[in-house]
Amino acid sequence: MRLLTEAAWVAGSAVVAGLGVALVDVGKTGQVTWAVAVVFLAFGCCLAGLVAAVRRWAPGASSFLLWPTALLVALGLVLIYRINPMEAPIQVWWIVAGVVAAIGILLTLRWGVERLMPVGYWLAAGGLGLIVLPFVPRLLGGESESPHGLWLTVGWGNVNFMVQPFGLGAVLLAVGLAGIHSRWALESVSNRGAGRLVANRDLLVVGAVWVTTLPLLWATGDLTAWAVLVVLSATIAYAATGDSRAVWTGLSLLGIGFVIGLTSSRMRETLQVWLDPFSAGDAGAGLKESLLALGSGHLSGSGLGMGEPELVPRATSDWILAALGEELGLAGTVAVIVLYGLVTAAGVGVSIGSRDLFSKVAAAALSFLLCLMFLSAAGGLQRLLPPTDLGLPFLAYGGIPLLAGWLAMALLVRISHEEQGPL
Amino acid sequence: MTDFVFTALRLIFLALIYLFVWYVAKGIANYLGLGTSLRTTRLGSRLVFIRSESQSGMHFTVADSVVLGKSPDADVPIDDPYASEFHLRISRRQGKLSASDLGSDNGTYLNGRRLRTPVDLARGDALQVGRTVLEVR
Repeated sequence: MRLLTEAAWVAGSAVVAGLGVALVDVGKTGQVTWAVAVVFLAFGCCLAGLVAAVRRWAPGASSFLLWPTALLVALGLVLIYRINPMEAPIQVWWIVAGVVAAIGILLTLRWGVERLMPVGYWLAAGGLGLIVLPFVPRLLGGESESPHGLWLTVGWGNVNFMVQPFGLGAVLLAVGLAGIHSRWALESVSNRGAGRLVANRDLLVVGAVWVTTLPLLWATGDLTAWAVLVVLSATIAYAATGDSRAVWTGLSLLGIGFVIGLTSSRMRETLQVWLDPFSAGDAGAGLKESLLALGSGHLSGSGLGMGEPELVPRATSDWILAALGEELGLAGTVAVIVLYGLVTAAGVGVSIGSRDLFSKVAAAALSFLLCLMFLSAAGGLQRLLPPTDLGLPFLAYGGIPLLAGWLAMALLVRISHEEQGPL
Repeated sequence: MTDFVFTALRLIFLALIYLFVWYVAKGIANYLGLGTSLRTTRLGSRLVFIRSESQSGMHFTVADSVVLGKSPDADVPIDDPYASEFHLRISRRQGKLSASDLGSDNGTYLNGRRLRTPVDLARGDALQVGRTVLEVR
């Protein structure tokens, strides 16, 4: 029975991807191409492989964690195929890589997710390293700005492509901080009377993340992405310790960072674009076109292949929700918002049901991170928040956001399995 | 292709997405235990799977006595890796349903409390076996 149910979900997700590609083909050329079959089979096989791995290494996990993710990935692939068909095959390969990475996580952690707790320092350091990688070398070289924001150009010979390591870094940072704070919370009984430094070390970690990521604000002016990191670190410290000073420390550091950031020309430019994108010239082109695209979507959108989302700069990555809003309208946008809400709700459910502190904090941190990244990217393109380069996990082109999303999901699946383990 | 057909396909695509979202939302609500209705004092006669990977919505009526468990030989097989082969018995005595654990490894929980002795059931009670939840209706 369970096999039939899972087969139905896999087939349903693949049908959404295939039907979406067919609609794009019909909308653009009036004919259906082989891409429909390729996308249907490739997507279906990837999901079937992932479901088989979950049944093998995390049979007690709720498969409902996978399906909202699968639908978001399917919608992202359809939109990328719509906007730039050349990028769609690369995205398919990134989906394969993400699924393989997720299976690798399930396989590696089959003896227990708590194995990550002792390596929390390394994970957090690695995550911070990935986050600052695009711009710190430039700052050390004497340049004050990062021309491509959060993006990093990687190249071998004549082949160059851009990646955004922020999402992957943030996932590693979230798990690493969960490990650090949980370990200290478990040790806290033996540390009573050990001095103020030990008593306040959770707050010091929030400060350390703030100091390390401040160059991001300076070099890129991406206030929203930087705020995600500070809020995340303060929230994880609060979740692990229950100490409300973590929240107040995070909020204070946000304010101080904002004032320091105002001395950066990039941040002043970001704020100017946010306040008045229509008179900000080329810098405001993304936000301006995004607002126009969303405004032309109406209730059910112009139809896949019938709008003009290619007018939005970097429409497949940073502004993909604007393209979705234009072609699928309010109905499509609300569906995506609900799907991210369901991913977060399922993650919070896993956290509540977890029995050990590390699993509880790590599940809460990962679901909160996915929620924050969605709110930041969606708020940025609707001008509710300062615009950001953050890619939407699962939906955006670029590989790393997709990889980061699958890794976070694999960890949640593993924690969900352990939640249901023998009592 | 006519505009009418294209528009119909477009709306079918959106409807398919919402159908998918609806079933996912229902599954997650069951997973979070939000589907449990308020307890009433009336007697119940049937049990409904309200949280299960593959049996959500299925129900059965207890005429005399049924044994639930992972084994295919159980009267009501439960698709749950954390259920025992023969996990619990539900029987009817003088119109009242009662549940008794059959020495399962992971225990049976009635409204969040582990069953130690046979207990009478009322409509709205939630029985948890592994990760599966059944409600008396």
